[in-house]
Amino acid sequence: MISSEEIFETIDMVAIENLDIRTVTLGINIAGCSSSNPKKLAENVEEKIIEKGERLSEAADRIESRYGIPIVNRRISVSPVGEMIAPALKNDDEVGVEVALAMDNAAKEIGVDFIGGYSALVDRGMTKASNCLLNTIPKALSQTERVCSSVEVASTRSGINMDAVKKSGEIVKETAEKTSEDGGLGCAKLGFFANAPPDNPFMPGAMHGPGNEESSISVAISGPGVVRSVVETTDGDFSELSEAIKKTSFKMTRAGELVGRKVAEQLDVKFNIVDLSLAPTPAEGDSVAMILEKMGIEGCGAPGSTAALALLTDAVKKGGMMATPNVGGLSGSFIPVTEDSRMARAVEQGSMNIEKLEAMSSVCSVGLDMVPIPGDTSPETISAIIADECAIGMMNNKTTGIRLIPVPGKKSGDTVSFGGLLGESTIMSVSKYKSTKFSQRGGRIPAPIHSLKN
Amino acid sequence: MNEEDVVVITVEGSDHPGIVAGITQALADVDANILDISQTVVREVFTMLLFADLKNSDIEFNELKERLNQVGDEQGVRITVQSEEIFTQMHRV
Repeated sequence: MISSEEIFETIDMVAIENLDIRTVTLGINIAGCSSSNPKKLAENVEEKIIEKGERLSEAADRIESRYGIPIVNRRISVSPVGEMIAPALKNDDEVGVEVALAMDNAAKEIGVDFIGGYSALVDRGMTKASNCLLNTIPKALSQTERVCSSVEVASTRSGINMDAVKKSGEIVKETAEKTSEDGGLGCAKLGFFANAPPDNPFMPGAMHGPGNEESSISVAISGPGVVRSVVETTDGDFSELSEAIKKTSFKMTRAGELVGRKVAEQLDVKFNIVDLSLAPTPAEGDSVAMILEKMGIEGCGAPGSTAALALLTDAVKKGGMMATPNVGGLSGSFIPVTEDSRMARAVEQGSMNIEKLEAMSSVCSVGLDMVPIPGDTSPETISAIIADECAIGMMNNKTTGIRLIPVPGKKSGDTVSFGGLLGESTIMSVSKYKSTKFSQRGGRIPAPIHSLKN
Repeated sequence: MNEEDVVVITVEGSDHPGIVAGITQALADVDANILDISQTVVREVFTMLLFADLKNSDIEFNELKERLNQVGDEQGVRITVQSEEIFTQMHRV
């Protein structure tokens, strides 16, 4: 029988250290909803999401109660919309926006806070449909509340589609302008990716990508607070620290695996993956930056931060791999700026800057995440930042993501607050030197030599 | 014994007579069989850990939780009820 120490350890992990299941995400394939009639297509999408997802919240509630592990969010991801609107396209088409509105309605109807999959995979090139989808992103995000969008613009296999990257900078700017009353909030629901995982349960990159079942459940565990507590109480050297984090990650992942499996059983769908990412929240102590600081760094971003993050990400993965055969998604550590109160503080005090963030993203699971930049940053500069981050992903055979928010009317050093889990931060500086010609060159940066594995 | 049928109940709060009686009566009322029970009082703080088997009980998990929370309110103690499975999953390789 299980010991009292083990029982109270689990209870403390939840009650004191913020262990939770960050999200249970139901993936739904909507390819079959396609139609040459745009209205009918949107209706089909809405009906399918409601039909598949209406029991999600109830199932999650039941499992949350039974096992005592909070499930913070219930979400839906659909197969990339950019792949399925082709039959309905006419000239100058806004069919995408209709689908986004349908997704938004369905999300409200079944009570989920975000729905992902307003997405296109254009790492090699753009189809007419994916081009149309990209054009409608700013409008779709400004007219909906819960829809999230992601675009894969690069991969190790294909290289970086610089035409798409050029367009991405423009999309970011337009989305910020269309949601300027909320500080450019639309950009918080928009991510660009290299090597986008097809099973990511986290927003904004969540999508039910190619190769998946008709419908499946993925979960994301999260416990920066639990890991921080372990780092705080381990005085040993780095080997011992890594071992301690591995053990904790094992336990957290097992909780996620059980919860995911049980929710999937309730909904009678396949269980897909556990995403092992440490995802911070603005809550005090629920911070990845703080874990790095507890390893002995005065302010996150100071020398040593990249090495500390590498150890952390690796130990989390090793512990998690042992705990479940179903590891997937992003699985690593997130280093968002506004969503992590310690990271935001590091920006404010000057220990963290955008260049160091970029360097750190080479050893964790995402990239430049929730980074507020001056509102007058040019689309070409934004495109060049996206290209840099994609290069890290492409060359290192890993996922990188970019979620930049050029906050309208604000300059470096001002503050912006998005509220809730999205948090707040000082606006970061970007280089004053221009990359305009680079971003306008177009074409494709070829795939690296190590993409030729066959 | 089916692991899914066993629940772990923890109780914490200020010590006074009647806490164990209240909880065990609630369990007896729903045909839950107590497998193991341990309690301590340290500096007037009462802590109890109880394993109960619901194999022969018809009660829904959430209803049991509600009943025990009611006992918790009456006795002024904090009660958690969880399936044992989460603990064995997390702490056993």
